Amino acid sequence: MLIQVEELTKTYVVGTEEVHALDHVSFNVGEGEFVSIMGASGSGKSTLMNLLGCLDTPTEGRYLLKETDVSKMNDEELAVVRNREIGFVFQVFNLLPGLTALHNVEVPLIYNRVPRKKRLEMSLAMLKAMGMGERAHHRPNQLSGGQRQRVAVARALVNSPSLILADEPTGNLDSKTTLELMELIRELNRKGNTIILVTHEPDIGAMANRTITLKDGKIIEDINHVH
Amino acid sequence: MFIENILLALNSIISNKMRSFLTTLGILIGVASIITVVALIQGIFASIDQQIQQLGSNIISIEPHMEVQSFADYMNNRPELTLTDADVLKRSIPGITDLAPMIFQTSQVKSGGKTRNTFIYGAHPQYQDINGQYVEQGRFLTDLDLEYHRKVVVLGQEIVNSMKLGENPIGKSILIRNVPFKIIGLMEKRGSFFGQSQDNYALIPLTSALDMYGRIAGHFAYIQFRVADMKQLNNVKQQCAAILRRRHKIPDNKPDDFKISTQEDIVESFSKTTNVITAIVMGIVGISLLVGGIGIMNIMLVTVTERTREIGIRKAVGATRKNILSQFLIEAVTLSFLGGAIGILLGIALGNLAAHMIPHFPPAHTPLWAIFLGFGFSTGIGILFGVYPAGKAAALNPIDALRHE
Repeated sequence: MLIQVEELTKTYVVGTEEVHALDHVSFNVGEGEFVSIMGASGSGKSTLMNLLGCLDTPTEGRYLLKETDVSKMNDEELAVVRNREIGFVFQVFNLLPGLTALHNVEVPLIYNRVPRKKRLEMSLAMLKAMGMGERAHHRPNQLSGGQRQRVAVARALVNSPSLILADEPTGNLDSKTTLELMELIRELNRKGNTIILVTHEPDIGAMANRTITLKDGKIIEDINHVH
Repeated sequence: MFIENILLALNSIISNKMRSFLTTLGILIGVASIITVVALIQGIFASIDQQIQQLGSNIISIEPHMEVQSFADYMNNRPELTLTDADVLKRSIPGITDLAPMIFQTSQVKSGGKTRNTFIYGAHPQYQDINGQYVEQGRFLTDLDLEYHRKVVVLGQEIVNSMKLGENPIGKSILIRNVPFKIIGLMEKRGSFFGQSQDNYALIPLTSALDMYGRIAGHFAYIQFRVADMKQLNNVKQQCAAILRRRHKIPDNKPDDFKISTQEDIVESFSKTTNVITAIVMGIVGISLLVGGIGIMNIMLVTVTERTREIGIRKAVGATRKNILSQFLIEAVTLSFLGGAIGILLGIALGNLAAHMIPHFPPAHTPLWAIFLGFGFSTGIGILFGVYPAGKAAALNPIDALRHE
């Protein structure tokens, strides 16, 4: 099992009141799955996303990634897990504005201490695979939204992570590029990548093979789709 | 990773050229002023050192000297050296050669209705060799001039020019304290020091000077001589002190009423003075570097806030605290290092320019240690004032940083 989540809980203290953003959530995700996480705002899906992405640690419960408990890791260890095991795709692309597409894709490889020459080869190859080879030396502000998101996907994939986490990746795209991106993501999944996609749009969520729906920090539905 | 960070820093500095320049301006000015001042002081020092070295290091000078307690005390016990002192030294110490006693006074000279104040040296024929300064036209003072108390004078060039004595003044007369002296020679030019002419002086026979100034002259006497054997220098110094103390009847518990110095002592005391001046200036410049460092810290804090999202993204894709810390620290250090480097170049240029512009100023000399000091200072300031903003950047929570607008 790639992901094992057991009784995962995240509690925030607001004033004197305890708020359970995530309330004893348990589920598993196998290798090669394509799961969407849905829910209204405030349902806890962002909190779950942050925990799955090792950007945050839970108050209670366990999170095992590739059989390793990451819920008790410190900052430095979590950074290494994010670097090697997780690829993020964000709603607002989150590319570094001062760097070209190529150098943006290169960033995770720098922190993985890949030698410079190899880094650039790998980054260029990944951009080409995303159909962005000709735009490798453009800066983000010279690219369209769809192109930026492709660069972001290239960056997410370049370190060959175990898990791709996409947080509302189509939120800033028009309907045509939305479909193109979703097709790209499905294609990546068909090639064996495990994908977890967070969205509040039902038709986007339905493109996954499985949908977990959250409400008030609890799982209310976990269904498989037949396409 | 280190090289990556330097490239990143340069990238960020170049993409904000104007801001980077203004940020590091404090460091730039601070380092430039250190280098300028040090170059000028070292230039002066080098030129004086050279002048002193030219004279040879086997010369001993003795002058009247006392630790002054009060003016009244000084007037009642003014130390003096006499010709007899000089004679006794010469007779008692075998290693002494070229002994030249000298007195100096300031007096009025007159010629053709023009008047000016000048230094009058009552000198000895050995003056030329001891001081390494020679007559250029005519002749110098001789033993016979001294023996016969002749009223003859050898002039510095500044007097010849300012008194308008003409192309060939030799044979003409000038009045010193209203006594006519015949001009027999002209000294070679000594040049000027800090714009002050060093050629405003007149040499007359020591004996004639004593006639003219009388006993008071002993307070302004000066005995110089050469020691034949360098190894005997300290030995001769001690013998001189012992003889003079005995002759001046100084009790054992009282200090000397004279000062014996070698060329080395003069160089040493001079270098002490320049070191003190250098230290004071560096202290003042240090404050400006501190201000420059605060400027860097200020802008780095702004930069960290501005680039919060960048930090979030970097952390999300796997940057550790250490990665972020070193990225921002290296950026601060690169910034201040570049400021320091430009400051060093500017300082060298300004030092040379200033030395050129001030008339008769010795050429500037930038020692290697000052350049290292400049680099060291700017790098140190970068580290000192970069640590706090870099630490702030490293401590950012990735979730908050990613959400930052």
